[in-house]
Amino acid sequence: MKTTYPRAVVWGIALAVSALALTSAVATTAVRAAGPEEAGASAFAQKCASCHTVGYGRKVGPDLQGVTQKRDREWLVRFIVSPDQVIASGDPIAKQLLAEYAIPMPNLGVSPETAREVLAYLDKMSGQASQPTGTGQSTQSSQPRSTTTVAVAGSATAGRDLFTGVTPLKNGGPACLSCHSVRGLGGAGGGAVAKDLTGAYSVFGAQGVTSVLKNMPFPVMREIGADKPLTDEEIANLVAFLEEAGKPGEARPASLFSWYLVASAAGWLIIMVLLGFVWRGRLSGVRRRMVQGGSR
Amino acid sequence: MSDFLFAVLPYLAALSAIVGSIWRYRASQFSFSSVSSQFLESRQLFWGSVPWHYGIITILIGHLVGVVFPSGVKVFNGEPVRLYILEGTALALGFLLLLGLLVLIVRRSSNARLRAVTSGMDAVLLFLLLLQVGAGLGIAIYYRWGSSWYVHTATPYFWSLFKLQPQTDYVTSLPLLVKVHIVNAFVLLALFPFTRLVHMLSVPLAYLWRSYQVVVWGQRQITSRRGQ
Repeated sequence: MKTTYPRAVVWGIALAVSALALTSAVATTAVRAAGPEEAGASAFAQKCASCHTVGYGRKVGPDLQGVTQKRDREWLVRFIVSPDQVIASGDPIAKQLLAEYAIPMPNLGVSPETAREVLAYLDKMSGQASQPTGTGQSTQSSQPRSTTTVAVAGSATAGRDLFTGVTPLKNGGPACLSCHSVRGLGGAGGGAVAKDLTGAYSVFGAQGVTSVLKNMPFPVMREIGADKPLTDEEIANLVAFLEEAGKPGEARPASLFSWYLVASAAGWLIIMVLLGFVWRGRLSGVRRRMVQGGSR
Repeated sequence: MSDFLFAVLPYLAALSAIVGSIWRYRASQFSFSSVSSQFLESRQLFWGSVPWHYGIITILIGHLVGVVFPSGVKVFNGEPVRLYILEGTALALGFLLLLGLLVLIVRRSSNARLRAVTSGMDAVLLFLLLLQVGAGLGIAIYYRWGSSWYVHTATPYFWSLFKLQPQTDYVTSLPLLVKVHIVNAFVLLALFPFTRLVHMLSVPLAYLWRSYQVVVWGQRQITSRRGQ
């Protein structure tokens, strides 16, 4: 172990090279759609349509009709690829948009190539301004023009069970509680890896929440939900639950998370005491016993 | 960068672990040991080694169960109370192994006799383990409930690695602390054959079912009886 590190290093380099070759071969499986506009249309439906329309008015984010004429193209590519960085850089346009729409656009992991394809699609759609029902519009055409609240037929109680996981999601998706919390869940509350959804309904509205649950535009959720979509009924119930949960005023059980931490620490102490008791003689006396035996 | 960390590094680490272990076994078979220091110091060793090993073994099994039986974990966590019990137990075990590791680090660094038998790689390993445990506990507390989201992110990611079609999207958008935990796990795997971690491969599992060996102390008494 001490003497022959160089040989291990040689091995390591050889393996690194072969592994690199292997993974790069594996990685070249991406298939591009025929034209940039068509590729852009499918990317738009997948990543943008839950928050943006083209010619159907403002949704969660701005209507993108004519945006390619309004803004500098390179700026658009930069913003689509890494909105978080552009916003953080203090860019004046990004600042103004954030002030107007209140929700920062999340980083959706769009590559610069895909961003250009989406812009090609937006170019095409903006050229058809007078007839917004053209090709590629199917994702938006079913949705109303504005973000006005739509009456939700779902049940808040059923939504709560879906949220906590008591009722499993039909297509095998994880319960919302795995990552999200919401006020009044009781117990030790929901997950903390993603946003607390108490205010989600008041920010996004029924339309926005429905759209987010349908399209799952956010990172992580997008990957998890890709092959496990929510059913329309589940979405309606979850929207009803989030509407209910966002209402101020009513007394709700507080999260007992701090008690959960205390209980874990107590569990740890119990294990320590048990270890000390059960193995009070373990690993402790070989030499001492020999000395005692020898001096008898 | 994240392509390298999550799609290349895992394979490098696995190859290093496998080839490195075979090389070490051929070059120095009897070095597959944790090089016990119990003879030099045993009091602190108990409060370090025992909590550490009971904690790390159960926690590692938990990580493995999530990869092999994701749907079982999902069903179990379907009832929030069960989720809270699972997470609370795991967190208690996490505290247990952190304490064990801290005792082992203090023990190694404060005792002159132990410092003499501690190699540079031992120090590197203890540091990396502390980083790994710290990140794991941080995730358990600040990015809960990991046992639930793990089976929908880490599990498909691991399986994509096994199928040689790495899908890094599952993990690249997770919080930084989670990424540190994953990357550091690969680093530990890569270093496996060059550290005392190899003792995992020489665990005397046969001790569990071999017949008892009775160790008798006190030869002096026997001789003195003979003398009478």
